[in-house]
Amino acid sequence: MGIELKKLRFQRDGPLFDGLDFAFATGAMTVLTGDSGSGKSTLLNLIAGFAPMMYEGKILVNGHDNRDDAMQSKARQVGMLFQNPDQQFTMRTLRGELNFALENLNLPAEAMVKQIRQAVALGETTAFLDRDLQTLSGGEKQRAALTVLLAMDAPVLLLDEPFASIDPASRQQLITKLGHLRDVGKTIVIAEHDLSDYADVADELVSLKNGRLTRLPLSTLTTIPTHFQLTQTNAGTKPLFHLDHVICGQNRQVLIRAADWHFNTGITTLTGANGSGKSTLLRAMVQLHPYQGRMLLGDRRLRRRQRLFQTMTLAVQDATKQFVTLTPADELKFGSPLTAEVRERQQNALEYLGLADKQNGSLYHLSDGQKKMIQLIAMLSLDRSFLLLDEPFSGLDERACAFFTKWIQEKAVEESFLIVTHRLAPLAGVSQQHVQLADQHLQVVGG
Amino acid sequence: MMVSKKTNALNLSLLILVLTLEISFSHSVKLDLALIGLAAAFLLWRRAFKSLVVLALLPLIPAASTYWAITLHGTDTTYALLLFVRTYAFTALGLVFLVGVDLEALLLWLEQHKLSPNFVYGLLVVIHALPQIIHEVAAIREASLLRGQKLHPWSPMIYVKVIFVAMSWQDQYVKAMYAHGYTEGAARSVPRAIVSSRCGLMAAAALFLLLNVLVR
Repeated sequence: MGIELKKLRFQRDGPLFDGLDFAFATGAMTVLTGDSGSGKSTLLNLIAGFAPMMYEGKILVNGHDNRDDAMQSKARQVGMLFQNPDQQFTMRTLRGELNFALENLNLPAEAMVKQIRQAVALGETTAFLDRDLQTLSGGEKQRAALTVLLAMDAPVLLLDEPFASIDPASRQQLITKLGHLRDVGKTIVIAEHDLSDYADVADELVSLKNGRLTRLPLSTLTTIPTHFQLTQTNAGTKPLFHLDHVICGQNRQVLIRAADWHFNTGITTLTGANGSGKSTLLRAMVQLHPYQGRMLLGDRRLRRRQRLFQTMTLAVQDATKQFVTLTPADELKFGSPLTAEVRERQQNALEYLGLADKQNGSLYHLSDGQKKMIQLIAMLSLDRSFLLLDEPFSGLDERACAFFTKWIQEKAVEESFLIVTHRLAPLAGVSQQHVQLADQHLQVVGG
Repeated sequence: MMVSKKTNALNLSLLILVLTLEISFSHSVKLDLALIGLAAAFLLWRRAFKSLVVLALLPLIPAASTYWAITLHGTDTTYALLLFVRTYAFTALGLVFLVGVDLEALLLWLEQHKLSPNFVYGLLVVIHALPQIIHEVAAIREASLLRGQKLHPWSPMIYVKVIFVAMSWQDQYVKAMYAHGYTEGAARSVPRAIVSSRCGLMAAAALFLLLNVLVR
């Protein structure tokens, strides 16, 4: 029972799963972890069967192989919650979507009314039942999507990194909710790279690496990450970027207050909890997000002008939001002409990272990790005196991390970096200063 | 027991269609002015202030240039004036359609009258994705700015890219519809009949007649 994989074989640029055998526990919450690109998403999609994918072997959901079933009966067995909260609704309101889903299941009117009432109560979504879905926050959208799955009453729920774009409070609330659902008998598998908040809820922790699933001890969820050396005492850095009485927020909530703060030259790591405002701060620093107060680079007051981006720029968190063109080749040469030396460097990077044969394909056919690589190559090719990087290592394996860290280190001789990252290991021994954003304030850590 | 839901989406669409046809052939400046007035009142009532601004500004250049072109070629300004107000009246009716007609209700009514569900729900997905597409345009301009290049709103690159991005969403949307149980060609239950309101139809007909009797 539950979910069983038997001799599962699946190809994606070479074999991803090659004879994979595994059983996910029934009525339990399993957290599935692994690097992006390791195939977590693919595995969940294979189990759900909502996308056309050719595989060999068997996938049994509650003892039943649903490979050739109609979508309707698949959806009765497995509910799936997707990563992007924006792209999972057909109708304008949650009520409309609930009706749509249950009409699809061909339920009679009385059953629909009853199931909708129960699901809305369980999902606690009464408040926005008739609100335009577009106006809901990411967390509310995910709760709405979960409500639809509850109304459809599938015994198995698969969640594909559902909290990637959600604030921490909503995330905790949803995880607690999933715990309750497990208690009433649902089998839940949740793909997740951020293991915090699961310690009290998860029943199993499973890691996906090189096409193999391995159970990890639950104590992994409670152990504190090891310490990394992110400061260098003799770095000899000097003030570079000045925040003068800056107040910056989002959705009428103040995230950052900096009365008098200097970011220094060299490589600086900026950490802080999810949703504390790190990305917002970086966007404000490149003048793409409104703020009160003054920001100065050297002694020059910054304003939103095209010229500013010749001096400093930002590599954004979501690589697809960095792309202007359609192919890696166009993307790498977009903007001002590059020197022969830089172009050679780009080619070498593509070859080292195994992307040389993908240059003229579509950017949208690359995996998330590969998108990140193209983004980093493009941004590191630019000649800027101050480069801000938002989560540059997400989805990269260790080899790629090492490659880019080396590149950053070489460039740091003449340029400065401010790096926001959850993954500290690649920056150990490289980062020269460590700054933390907590309770709206910036502070120096260690050193 | 079948629950029914009344909608005026069809009535309003029909009224707008008939009025559009009428002003295409009518030479009554008064009728055009009356429609513009009614439309403006409707938009005010629905608090669609942005649409009011659009109504004031969008037709200005085409209307003014038609007016100017015709007065330049003839001495008769009545015809020029007619085309001027007619351009405004068309825009007004279009905005009333955008603001006033619940497309979801209209499409669901059409589905219950034998329009293919694939078409209906496909179109609904596109309609509801429009705000995201607009957001994507802003994101591309920002991405370009971060690379030191300014993309202007009229740059074709933005739109080529947006089309590709929207196409890359297609798979995700199809998957999401399947996940909510949508099956092509399968039977779907119809728990509530969507009924086009009779009263609404009478009111629309009455309004049409009144306009024609009083204004002409």
